[in-house]
Amino acid sequence: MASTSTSTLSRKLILKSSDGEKFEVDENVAMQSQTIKHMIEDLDDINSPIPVSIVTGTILSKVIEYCKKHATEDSDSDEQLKQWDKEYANNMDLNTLYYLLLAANYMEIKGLLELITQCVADMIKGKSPEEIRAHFNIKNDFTPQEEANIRNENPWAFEN
Amino acid sequence: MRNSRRQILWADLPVEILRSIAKRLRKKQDLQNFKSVCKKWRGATAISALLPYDVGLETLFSSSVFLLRPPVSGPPWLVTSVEITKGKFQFCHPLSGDLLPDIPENFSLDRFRPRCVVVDYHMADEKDKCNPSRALFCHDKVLPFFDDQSVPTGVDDGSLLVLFRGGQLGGSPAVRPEFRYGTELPWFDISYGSLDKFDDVVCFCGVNYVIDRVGKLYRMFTNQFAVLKTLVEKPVIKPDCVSKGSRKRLVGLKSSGDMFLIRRSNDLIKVYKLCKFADKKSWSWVKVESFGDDYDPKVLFVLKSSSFFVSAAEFPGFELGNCIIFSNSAFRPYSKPGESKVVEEKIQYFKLGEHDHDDSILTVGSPGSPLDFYSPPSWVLQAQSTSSPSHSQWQPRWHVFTRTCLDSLACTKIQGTKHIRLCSKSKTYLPPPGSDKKHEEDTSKKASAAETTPEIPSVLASKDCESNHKFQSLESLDIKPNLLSTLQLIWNKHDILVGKYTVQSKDMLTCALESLAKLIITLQNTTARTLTDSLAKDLESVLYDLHCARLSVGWLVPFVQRALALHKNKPLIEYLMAIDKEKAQVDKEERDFLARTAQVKQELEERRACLSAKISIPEPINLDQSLGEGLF
Repeated sequence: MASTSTSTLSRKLILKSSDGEKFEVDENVAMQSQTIKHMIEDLDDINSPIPVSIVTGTILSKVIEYCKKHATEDSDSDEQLKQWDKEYANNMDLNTLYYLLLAANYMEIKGLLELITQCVADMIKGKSPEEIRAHFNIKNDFTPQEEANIRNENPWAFEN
Repeated sequence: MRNSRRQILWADLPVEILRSIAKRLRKKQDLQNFKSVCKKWRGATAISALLPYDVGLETLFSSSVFLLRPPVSGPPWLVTSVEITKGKFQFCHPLSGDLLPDIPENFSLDRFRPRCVVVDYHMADEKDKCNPSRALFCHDKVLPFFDDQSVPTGVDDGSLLVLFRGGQLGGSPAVRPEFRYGTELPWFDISYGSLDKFDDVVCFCGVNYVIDRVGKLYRMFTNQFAVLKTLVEKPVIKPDCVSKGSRKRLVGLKSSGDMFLIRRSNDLIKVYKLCKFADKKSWSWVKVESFGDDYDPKVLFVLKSSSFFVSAAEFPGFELGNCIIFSNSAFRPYSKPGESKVVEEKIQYFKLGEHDHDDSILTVGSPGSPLDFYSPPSWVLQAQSTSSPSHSQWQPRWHVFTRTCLDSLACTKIQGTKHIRLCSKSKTYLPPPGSDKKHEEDTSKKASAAETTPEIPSVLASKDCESNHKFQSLESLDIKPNLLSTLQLIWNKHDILVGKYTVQSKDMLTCALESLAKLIITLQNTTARTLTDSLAKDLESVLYDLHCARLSVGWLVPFVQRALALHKNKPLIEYLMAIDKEKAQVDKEERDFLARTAQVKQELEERRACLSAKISIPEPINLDQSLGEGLF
């Protein structure tokens, strides 16, 4: 087991973004993505670039930044890692968060997906539907009647 | 770089991402707000977004009834959309569950802005899956059941309640991934009391309610081992009558928060509302003749496994308020073991509060017959055919029927004491091809009566023209002089005495014609504002009597109908006008205010210009700036 883990550490993979940018990463960094893990299994030539077709270079670099931090798990304590995650997410603007969500979902990086969905959920908390729409630039597609029905949707029950 | 140019659509995030965001909203209010943002976000939190889902040896799937409004006016189309195989939608008749034959491949409801009126759940095994009309009714009722109703975050979180074999209620304690396809689910049975036969189970406002055969109501708790708590102890029928009865149904009305029990008793439908006893502690069923809400009356559709209310206003021209439309198998009679009755599928209609003898259930709504809101209407097929041509078999077969057959329904009762108010405004009667045959097949007396008595306006104009033309002029009758001139005008314009009028004596005819003249004078001299209740009633009854006398007064019907409609809606219209007036007032105030502010602004501008002309320092002026700024 020890020998395999050292050998994987030494291997390098090339990831290619949708706009053609290439990134060389350690295998254990890339393997945090389940999608890439499955791709490598089917791949004969490990040296050819692996296409990450829906993710742009800008976003992919951010994804790799996350994966690198989480690949070297023993260097930091849990507490420090959490703090790092928090700062990482807080530094993103809304558009970047959107693409990171899609990228993490597509690449199947569980930790990153959890981090970003939590970050988005925190933005929603305490906001009215109108404020949420304004924040995320979402159009209200309910008719006034439907909206009234939703407002009246207070769960209650016939009690003895 | 491409990021900034591509559109960011938070509304269109994949469902699984939206769900994982929603899962992280722990507070109920936050989740409620999330669901209120847009349709996509709302849909993502619904359990139906995760279906179809394999559970044990069966597949759990959902069906939704959609209401599609026509582009111009007229009745809507009600259609069930079923998704048994992920991404593949099939369209069925909501009441019978039959697959609609004329729907082309790749048909989509989206372009018609469909409104979902009810979502229902079903389970079917491999064998039945390929046939939607079987798959929909493998069980009487299937209900996914969640302890915390606010966030069904996954099918795995819940249990399933299944009502099956005509009254047994069972379920799986939890739908865990380990019970994936291929394994049998561990089931529990719920039995309660001596009867332990259940009729319906519904989820209303996040709580599951169960009704048994005698009408006792229970509330259900916890999904691990469902526990029933009795809510209504007093049965609606005597326990010893149970075997003769038929399945009772439960339905909740969201807009009022009321729950109703619907039961069929021979040829009547009885409706009970869940009400608190006078002691304010216990609940009971109270028989009602309306679903409440007189300003926005509702029509109830009872399907085989679910029920839903629609505002009667969705069906303009059909007075469906407080009506119940159902398939007869929705109230399936209890049969003894081994005695399985094959019931012929019929769509039936019942109006609450208007029955005085016991044959008040009418059979309606089979393709081409009255109240058929389920056959694909021409505007749907035409709209679809413009996008995908070469479907010559779609003919606008149904749309004419709906209206014309309603006319005949209106006529069914017009000669009896009852008068079903399903009058329509259409004037032409186009007998649908093959309708005669259809009606022969219809066993209902009423439907066949409808066939023999055609529509009001045409009945007198078309038939038996050879009969009594004894009275060729008004002069031969002894008409009051003050009415004569009016009557002469009408006489010249319309053939009042065409057809086989039943009045034979001169006196009676004089009387009828005088009534007619009076009615016309009333119509001419009365405005909607001055029309009183008694006058409106008079108008209606005179017209009715003239019909009975078989005078040809079809041309008068629209005028009287309009007058009555205006009268009926007078409070609303007045309210509307008051609102308009208030709005105009506010508009005026807004204009005045804008004019005033503009004036003040202008004055300020002028004073500013005047003052700044007096200051000899070049702009900009900032009093807080260091006086030494710009020295270095």
